[in-house]
Amino acid sequence: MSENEFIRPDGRKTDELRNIKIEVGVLERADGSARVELGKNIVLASVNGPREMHPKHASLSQKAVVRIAYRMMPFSVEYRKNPFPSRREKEISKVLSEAFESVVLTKLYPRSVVDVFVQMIQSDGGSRTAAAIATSAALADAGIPMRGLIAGIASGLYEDHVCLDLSGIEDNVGTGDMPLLYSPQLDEVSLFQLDGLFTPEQFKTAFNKSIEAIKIIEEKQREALKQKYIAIRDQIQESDDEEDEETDSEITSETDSYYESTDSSDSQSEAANFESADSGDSSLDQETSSESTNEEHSTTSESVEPHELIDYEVRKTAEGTDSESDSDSEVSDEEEEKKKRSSLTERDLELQDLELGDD
Amino acid sequence: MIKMNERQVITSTVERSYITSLLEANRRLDGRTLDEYRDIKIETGFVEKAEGSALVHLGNTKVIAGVKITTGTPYSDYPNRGTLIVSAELNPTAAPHYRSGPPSDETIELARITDRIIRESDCIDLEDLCIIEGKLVYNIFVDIYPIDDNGNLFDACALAAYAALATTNIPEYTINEEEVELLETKQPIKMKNIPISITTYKIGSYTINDASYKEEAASQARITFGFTENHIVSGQKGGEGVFSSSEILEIVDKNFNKAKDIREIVKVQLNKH
Repeated sequence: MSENEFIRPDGRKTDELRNIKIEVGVLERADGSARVELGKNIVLASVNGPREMHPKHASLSQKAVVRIAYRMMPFSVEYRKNPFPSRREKEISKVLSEAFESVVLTKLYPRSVVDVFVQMIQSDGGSRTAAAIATSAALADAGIPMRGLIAGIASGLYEDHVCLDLSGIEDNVGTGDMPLLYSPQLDEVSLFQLDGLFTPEQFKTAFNKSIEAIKIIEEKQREALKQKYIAIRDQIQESDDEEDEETDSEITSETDSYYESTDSSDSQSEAANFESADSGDSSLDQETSSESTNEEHSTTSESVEPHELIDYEVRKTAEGTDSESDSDSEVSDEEEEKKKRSSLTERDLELQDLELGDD
Repeated sequence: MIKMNERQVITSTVERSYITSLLEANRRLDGRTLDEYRDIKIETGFVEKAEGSALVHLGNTKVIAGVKITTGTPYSDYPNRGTLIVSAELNPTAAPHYRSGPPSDETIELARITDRIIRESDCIDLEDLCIIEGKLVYNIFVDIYPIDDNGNLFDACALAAYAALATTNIPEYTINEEEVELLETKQPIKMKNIPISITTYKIGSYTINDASYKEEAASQARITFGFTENHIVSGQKGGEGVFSSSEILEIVDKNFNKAKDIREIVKVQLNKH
C-alpha cells in the first residue's frame, strides 16, 4: 500500500506520532501543573483553583467556570510573536475552556473559577492539542474532580495523504488540519475543528486514526500522573530505610503535631516538590551550602543546633528543602505515610505490575 | 510588607515573627545563612526556534528567557547602533496571585530593572549590531517569563536575561545591491562582561540576600544592585521600608563581593554546555 510507504518530511510514517513526554507537578506555587513535549512543542500548564472568581460578575451562581488562557511566548515561533494575546490565542482559549467545562464537575463549586494558564514555550504544529494534553494532566494533578481525562491530537492532509500529528512544516504546506479532543473513558468528543479539503473517505480515516492515537496519549497521561505518586512512594521507602538507622526520631514526631495544627497547606506543594527537577541534585546542593557556611559563618553553624528549628522550618517552607534533604525526608515521612496509607496502598499491587518504560 | 499586587502573598503574624526570631539566631527558614544564595542552575538552548534561550533555577524559583532577533531601522540619534528591548511578563503560571492582562506596576518595574542592568552594563556592544548605518540594524528582543516564583525574581530574571543573551546566535547576512538578505548561518553573539544582580531584603533590622517568597512577604524593603566586574551599573530600592545611609554603603560593599561569587557560578554553568 502506498499509504504505508509514504514517508513524511521528518521521516515518520503516516500514522506515526511524534515523541510525547508528559510530566506533572512541575511547578511548586501552582495547585496543579504539567509540562508536555509533543515533538518540538513545549507546553507548560498551571492550574489554580477552584477559587473566588475575579471579576465577580463573571461568576455563575450554579457552577464553577473553567477559564483557560492559552498564550504563546514571543520566542516560541520563527518570527517574534507580539506578547499581546492575538485573536487566534483568544479563540483557542475559548474552545479549550468549553472542552474542559464538559468534564470538570463544575456544579461542585458554584460561584468560583478554576483558572488554567497554558503557555507555549515552543510551538510547532498541533499546539492546541498539546496544550489540551497538558491542561488535562494539570487539572488531574490539582485534584480537580473530573469525569474523565481528555487527550487530543491533530491530524490532517499532507501531499494528499492522511497524516497523524502534523508537524509545523506539514501544517503550513498541508491541505487540511483537524484538531480533535476526546475522552476515551467517556467516548466524548469535546473539541473538534477542521479546515482544509478532506474527502469523506479521508475524513473518516483521519478521524478513526485520531481516536486510536488519543487512546495511546491518554494512557501516557495516566502514567505521568502515577509516576508522581511512585516517586513519592520511593521517597517514603528510602526515608524508611534511613529512619531505621536514626535514633532521635522522637523530636520529629513532637514538632510534627505542632506543625500540623498551625499550617497544613504546604503538604501539597511539598508533595509536588518531590519530583521537581531539582530534587535529584540534593547532594550537590548540600555540598555548596555547607561550603559557604563554613567560609562565612563558621560561628553560627555550631552554636544553633536544636533540631527543632530545622524540622520546623523545613515544614514551614516548601522551598530550600534541598539543602536539608536529610532531615526533610525524615520529617515529611510522617505526612507522606498518611497519604500513602489513604491513597496509595490500594494502588500498590496495581503499580507493581505497571510498566514504567519511558517513550 | 512589600506591596506585590492587590492580591498579594498573605503571611500570618506567627509566620512573620518566626522568620524574625530565626534571624535573631542568624538562621533562616531553609537553613541558609543570611547572605547565602540558593543553588543556581542554568539550562540553555532548549527552545530551538529562539535565537537564544535560558531556564534559570534559583533554588525553586524558575525563570525562562528567550531571545528573538529581527531587523529594522535604527533610532535617528544612534544611527550606528542596534536596539535591545528587555521585557517581562508575570502571569499566573508564576504564582496564583498574578493576573494575565495588561502589565501591572510590579511587572513593569521588574522588566525595567532587568532591562537597566543588561543595558547599562554594556554587556552587548550595540554598535556590533549595525548592518547599514542609519538604515538597518538588528533588533534584539529579550522576553522574560518567570514560571515559578519562589522569591527574588529580580536576580533570577537578570540571570535568565544574561544567560539567554550570552547563548544567542545572530543570523549572518549578505548585501546584494542594497538588498540585505539574512542567512541561515549564525554567529554567536559577543558578550563583553557578565552583569550580576544582587537583591538585599530588609526584615526588621536584619538584611538578607536572595529572599524566598515568604521572606519577601515578611520584608519591609528591598534594594537591588547590578554589578559588572568593576562597576555598579544599576540600582533600585523598593518597598515601604527604608535603609539608612550606612546600611546602603555596607550592602553595596558586601554585594559587590557576592556578585563575584555568583559570576563564577554563572561562568561554570554556561561553560558546561
